[in-house]
Amino acid sequence: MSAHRLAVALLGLLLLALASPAGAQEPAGSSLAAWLDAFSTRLEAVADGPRDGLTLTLTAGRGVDPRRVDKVLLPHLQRRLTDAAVVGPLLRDATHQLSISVSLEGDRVWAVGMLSGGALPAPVALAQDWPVDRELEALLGTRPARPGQGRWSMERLGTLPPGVLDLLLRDLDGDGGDDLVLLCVDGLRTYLWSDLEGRPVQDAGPVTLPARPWNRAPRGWLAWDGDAVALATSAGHRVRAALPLDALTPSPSAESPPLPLRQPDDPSRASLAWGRPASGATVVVDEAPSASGVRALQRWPGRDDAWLWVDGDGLLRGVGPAGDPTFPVRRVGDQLVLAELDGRAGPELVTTEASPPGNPDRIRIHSLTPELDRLTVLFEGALDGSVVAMDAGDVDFDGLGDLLFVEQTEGRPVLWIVRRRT
Amino acid sequence: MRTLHLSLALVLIAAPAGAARAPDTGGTVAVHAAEVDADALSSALTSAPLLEPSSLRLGPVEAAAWPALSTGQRSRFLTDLAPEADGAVWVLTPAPRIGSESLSDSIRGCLAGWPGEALAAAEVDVRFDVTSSGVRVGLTAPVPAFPLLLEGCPGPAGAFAPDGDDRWLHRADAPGGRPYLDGVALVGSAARADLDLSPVSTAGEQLVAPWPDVWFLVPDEAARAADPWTLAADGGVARFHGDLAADLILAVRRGGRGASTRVLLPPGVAPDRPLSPAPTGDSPPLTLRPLPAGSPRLALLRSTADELTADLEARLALLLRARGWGVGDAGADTPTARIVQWRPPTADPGLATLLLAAEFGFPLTPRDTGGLLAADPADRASTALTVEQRWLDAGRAVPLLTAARTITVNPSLRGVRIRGDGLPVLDDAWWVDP
Repeated sequence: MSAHRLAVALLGLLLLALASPAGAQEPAGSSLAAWLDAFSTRLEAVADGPRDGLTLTLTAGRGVDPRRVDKVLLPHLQRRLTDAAVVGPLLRDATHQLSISVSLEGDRVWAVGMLSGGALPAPVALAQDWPVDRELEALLGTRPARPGQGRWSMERLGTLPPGVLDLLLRDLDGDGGDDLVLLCVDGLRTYLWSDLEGRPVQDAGPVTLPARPWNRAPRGWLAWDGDAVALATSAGHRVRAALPLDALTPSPSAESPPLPLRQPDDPSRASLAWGRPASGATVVVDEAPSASGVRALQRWPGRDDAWLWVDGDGLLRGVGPAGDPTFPVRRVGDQLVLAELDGRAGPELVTTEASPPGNPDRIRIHSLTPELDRLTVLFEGALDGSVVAMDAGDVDFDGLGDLLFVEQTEGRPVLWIVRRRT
Repeated sequence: MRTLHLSLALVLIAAPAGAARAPDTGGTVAVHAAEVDADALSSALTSAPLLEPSSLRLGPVEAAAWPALSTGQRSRFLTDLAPEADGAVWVLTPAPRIGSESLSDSIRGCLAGWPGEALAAAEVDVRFDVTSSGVRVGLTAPVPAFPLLLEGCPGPAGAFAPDGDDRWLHRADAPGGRPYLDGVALVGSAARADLDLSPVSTAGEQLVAPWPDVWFLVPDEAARAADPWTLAADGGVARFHGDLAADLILAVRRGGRGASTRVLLPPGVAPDRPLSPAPTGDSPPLTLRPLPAGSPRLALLRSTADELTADLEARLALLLRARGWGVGDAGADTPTARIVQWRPPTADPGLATLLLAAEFGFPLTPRDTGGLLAADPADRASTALTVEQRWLDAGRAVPLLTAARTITVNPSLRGVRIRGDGLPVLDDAWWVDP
């Protein structure tokens, strides 16, 4: 984050604080306050509503921590209703009863109340939804740490544009922390890490991809090519984009011919086009080329003698200095990262669940011995959607690696960060 | 490591630190669809939705190929969709390759399906004006939620075209580009299928639809008055569900993929709502005694012949017997209850409630229909849940259970998605090795 941007943000916060009246209950931009206010307004608008008193109960529904409902939501809702004084006092045994259920449905949180009693001829349902942002995610506590995983945290950083294909991390603004390059179906964007907000903020883009006659793009890849970003898609794009992004537009003339998936003329080799056009790794096989192919591949950082990959059957394979790894063969998803995350010697291996697209996925961080003889799960995080992209770097200036990944939910893609607590 | 995997991954030419593989082109998918209407499957293969259903997870292809309209939805066949007269008129502007007549035909055909049923339940009539620039859809009342109805309409073209009986071939000029697969074929055996739509299949990967099917009872007026399952008694509903033991039926018939339910609109369509606490602990055992002569009788009917519904029928008959009722034949003087399996074709609670009313004759007021077709999703949900509770309190329907709708997919077939109605989307599917 640049000094200028930091100064502007600090000034904005100062003005906000000065503008807030003394004793204000919620900051003006509070999602919780806005959501509960919208719900309360619905309640206050009910004809024959609770003007003489209300008995209020709140329960946790799907995906919501019951303790947070009691400790966070209930006091805020009580205060909102009491301060507005449109409905009557909150009583233990009022003529009107309002029972509310709070649940997470996709990327939205819902409050559904059933109001009954008084002069109402029949129960009336009151429903109000709100998009889940970091504030609501934190307040509702929907991702509690699993026992034994207290040294790691998994936090939601916000939503991204639809159609995320890949992401890359690198320091773009020279502040020492990594920033984000994001490839979506509609183009390339860059995000700078904002230490003040604790998340990336869009800086440039989208730079639109040139039109292709074959416009199906379910896969896309980003790679560094010197100081430029090389990108490829399964729609046939092979483009380089210089940074800063808003200074240049990818040129179709820079495209290279599409790379073949295999070269069948040499039976002892399978040459795989990784989608990262600057690379072009060739993988030698002992026998006939695998009919199953390779889905993802990672090299041990700084070494050329240790590789891990996901084979065509979705199984985690590898080769180390001593040859084949001895860790048990396991089925994993198509995303793989091998990067330093915990500050100790040697990288950690990050895998996803072998679940069908769109089904609940799972992030796993493993410790890995240099001989590839043992894999130990250090962290496991459950998700509602699929992981469609991930990369590791140091975004928060703490000297430890951070894992950023994108979850495709039923709504917009969600950016998450997993990091080791310092 | 031999044969199928790589034993020596070396030889690096400007080796990358990481990589992932691109999709292959080619291959055919064999589909087994014993309990699915072949016409519905064909429609899913040969047409893309006129508007992207919000319930369908937005894939990158859709996001790229279908630009967003002013309503926030996406379409590859429309360039604009604009309301006039508070939503009583909607003006549809077709994409350059799509003619107004073709678009009009698509919408007319679509309104013969569930979108038309929903409008009929709201007592809204439709008229069309086709011009060179587009189609004006006039409605006899404002329908702010009209774009949601268009999500149920198939567009003029899709990724595949019919190629003889039970076969479909890829279209080179498909909207959004040629699909990766060469074609799709229907097969009669699940063992030979790459993609099985049967609910009980277990081999391969399971794709789960965004919301489950619902089973419920629809008693007629005499059965509602007689209350044979003593639902109106204090704690009667909780006792009924304890006795029904839906979890056991689901464990046997659906591998546990389902749940007992006390509401009509399933999760994925409507949010959680407050319910009275479920009973804890085991239900007391049912006591069966000989029925005395002249005991009241109820006719149990069912609309589907599957094993899960048959099990439900047997269990409900047992519950009747334990409450002093027998099962009789349908007749003029016999109260009747139907066991129905229902699946809303839309994820919108307002439209789903209209369809419930249309299909089962549940009553609605003009105020209800206004709320169910409102522009604000929260307004539609509020009205839907109010109406649902009213129907439940009146005994119009007795919810029984929900069961997940699944598709079984060969693990080497990637990129398959599942629509809200449970049918597969193969537009972006590909074989790992075709």
